[in-house]
Amino acid sequence: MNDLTKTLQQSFKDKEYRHGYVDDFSNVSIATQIKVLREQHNWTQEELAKEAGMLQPRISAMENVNYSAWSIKILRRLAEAFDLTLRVSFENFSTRVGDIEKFSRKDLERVSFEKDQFFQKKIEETLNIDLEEENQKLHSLVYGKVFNIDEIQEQQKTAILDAYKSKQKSLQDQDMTKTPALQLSMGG
Amino acid sequence: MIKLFDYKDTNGYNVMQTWADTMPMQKRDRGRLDNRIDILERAEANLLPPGLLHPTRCRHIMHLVVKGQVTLCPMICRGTVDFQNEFTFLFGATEKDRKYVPKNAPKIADNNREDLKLHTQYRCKHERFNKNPATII
Repeated sequence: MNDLTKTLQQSFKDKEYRHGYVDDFSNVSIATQIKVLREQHNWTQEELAKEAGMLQPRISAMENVNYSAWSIKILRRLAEAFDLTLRVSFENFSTRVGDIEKFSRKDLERVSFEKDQFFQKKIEETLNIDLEEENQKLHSLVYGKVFNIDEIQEQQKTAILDAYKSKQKSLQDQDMTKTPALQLSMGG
Repeated sequence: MIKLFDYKDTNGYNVMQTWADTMPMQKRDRGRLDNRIDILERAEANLLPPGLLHPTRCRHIMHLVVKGQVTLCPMICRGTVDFQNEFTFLFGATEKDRKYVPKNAPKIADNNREDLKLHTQYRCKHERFNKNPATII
């Protein structure tokens, strides 16, 4: 845990303080992300304004950390311009501390749909499945007996108990029942 | 990470801490101020959030803006030793009716900066303003 996290853990115990801090962080974070995303697209404010159907001065105002009059409708328009999706959610304060901690250009950058790896790969690549390997596993299950380590131990346990019972039975048959019982203990 | 420093006057007093201690500041405003400073500290060379630092009429002096019951304008400059990776808080001011209080705040900050250029020992590592908000009145 670093110094800032420790400090915020203590300071955030005060409700007024933590709301002041985090509300301001939200404004700073959104404004900065708009700028970062615009630069990622190599767009000027004018170009972003055109994509989002707004005027350039409005983009300039929203890229300023002192802007606070956000509306979901406007943010959705910006998300569509960047070909991204807007996520609005209520979060607990510990999540926010993590966001503050990793605040950086890299953390604010996003890839638009066209460059999103998830939608570029075949489904088996996305789910990280080797179809050949899966096929072999299935074949073994149907045609061959496959034990895992627990199954093998269970097999051995049963075999030893069977052997013991068999030996006892043969001793009984020979009327040698006074032989002390063999203490058998199996670690589980 | 950017390194932050506070200017100390010739008597060795940390002028920023004195300003923060005497400034009537609501807890919410103090939270905002601390957030701006934490963001500044985390700002990378290629990511200084737009509008975080405002220029003044003195070339090397900028200030943070924290709007609240009173608009806080702590004056700051780059360096004074490493201009890429350091900022130094020089003087604490507020803003009323678009005017600094005191009026010559940027000039005072610039004088402190000049002072600091000659005597680098007149600064110390920035301390968080009042670490425990529960003690703020």
